[in-house]
Amino acid sequence: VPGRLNELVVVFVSIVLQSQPFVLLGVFASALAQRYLSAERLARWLPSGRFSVVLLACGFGFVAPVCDCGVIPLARRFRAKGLPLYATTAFILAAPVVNPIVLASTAVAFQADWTIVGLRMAMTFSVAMTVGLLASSLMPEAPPALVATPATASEGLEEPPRPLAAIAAHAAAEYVDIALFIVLGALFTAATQTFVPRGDLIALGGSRIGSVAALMPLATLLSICSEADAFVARAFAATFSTGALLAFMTIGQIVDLRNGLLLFRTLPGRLVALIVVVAYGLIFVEALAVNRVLLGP
Amino acid sequence: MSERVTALGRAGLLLASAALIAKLFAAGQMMKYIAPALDPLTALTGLVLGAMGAMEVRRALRCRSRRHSAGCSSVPRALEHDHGVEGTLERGVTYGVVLLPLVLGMAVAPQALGTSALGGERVTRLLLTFAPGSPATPRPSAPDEPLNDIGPLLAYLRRVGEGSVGQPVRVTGMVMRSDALEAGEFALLRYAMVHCVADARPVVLLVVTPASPDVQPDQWIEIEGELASRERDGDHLVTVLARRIKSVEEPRNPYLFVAY
Repeated sequence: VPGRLNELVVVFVSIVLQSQPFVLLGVFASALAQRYLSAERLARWLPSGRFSVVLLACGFGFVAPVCDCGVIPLARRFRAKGLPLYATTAFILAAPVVNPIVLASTAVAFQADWTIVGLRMAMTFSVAMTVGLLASSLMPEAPPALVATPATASEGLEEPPRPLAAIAAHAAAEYVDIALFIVLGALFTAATQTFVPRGDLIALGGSRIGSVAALMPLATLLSICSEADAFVARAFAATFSTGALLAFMTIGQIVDLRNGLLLFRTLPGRLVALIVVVAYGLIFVEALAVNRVLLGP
Repeated sequence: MSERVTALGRAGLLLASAALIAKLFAAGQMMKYIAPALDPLTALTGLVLGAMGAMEVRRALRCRSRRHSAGCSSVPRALEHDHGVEGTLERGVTYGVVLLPLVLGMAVAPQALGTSALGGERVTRLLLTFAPGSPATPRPSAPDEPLNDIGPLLAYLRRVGEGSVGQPVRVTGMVMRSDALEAGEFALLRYAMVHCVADARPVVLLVVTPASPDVQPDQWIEIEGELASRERDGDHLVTVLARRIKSVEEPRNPYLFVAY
């Protein structure tokens, strides 16, 4: 296989392979939620008040530590069970980073630099909270996501199925449904990595503002898994500012090519546009602020 | 489309995914896609996908044995609607796209990423440097193990920095040429990955040779020489003074799996 084509194929297949365990985790979590979490129970558990609901959704990654590949199936199921759209959105944005596994991998990559770990979590949290609260105000009547109306495990069944068979069937259906978007996202990411030159982008790394402006689109382009991106960010540490590294690790899990199609499939287009604008704007400003505080004026 | 056909389609995709994972392990090709540290997780994924596929086959067979497909469903109708049973064409396109990486993974013999995967990043920006603050006057510090590849070399450099100068070293990688390098110099490239090839980043060493060697870009070579330091634009570059260069085949495992 010629060089460029080999590169395209290897990157494409590797993204698909690497995402599969995490997608499976997500679809089984979704299947369990489908079977055992009723809409009534979810409604009882949710606090009153939009702020509290968004806050809870942002921190739910500590209970359900799913990465960016697995968060969508679980979020779709929560949405189908009646979780408000703005809270579902906050969960999708926060959970891939605000969870113990990703924070631990960040700590390992940055040799227990807890400032980096804390700032990464805080920046992600801030975007998820902001988008969640804005969505709750700007589009309270937003149409539901493209998921089923709230369904209980017994709907459509002539007799209660065996639990394991029912969970496996749900998981298989969900897996095949989102596989299309995972594969398309992987293909798009691989093609971009292969054919879009990034040398000039990285050459901007010298200045504080330029380094942030360069690494943010690079993160979107590379679409690296949330459990691996800290190691890649550390490889940039000699060239780019701390704020740029944090921006890389934050925006890459919120706006990335690989999961972009899945996000459009799950959330209304207006909401996805809001996510992109708020995430890019807020993270850029926060990264510059981090540079100013940590590196001086 | 009937429930039975849907279940068979899902079973086909799930079993094909499991088969790809099995094939890559059996052919020793998995490490060209995924870091070996993830092998247990990947193998478990293959088993789960295979089991899910087998359960879908069983479900399809149960559907065939019954007159009414609703009786064999263990998926709520709302979910079935969610998953688009209605469109045969849509389903065909979906399956075709999802099968694409499976077919490619089965058919293609993967090679390591080459210099083209750098995406236009400049060689001079990629050259490995000694960490700032390394001792100005190098003090010999013997490595715990022979520096017989870039992995052990990186571990040693992290420990002693510029104190490594003068140590014998053997490294394997791909040749990179650049007009920005001086006469008698070229760069040696290896990729290091964390999870998969998509997150691979280059590790690039400056190589200095007494005479211009007959090597081509992307050619795999093994170099024996001595570690040195070259100052350029204020940076101290990790440099290999080559004594012997020989052409080698692409290693069975061409990537480094280190937190570089």
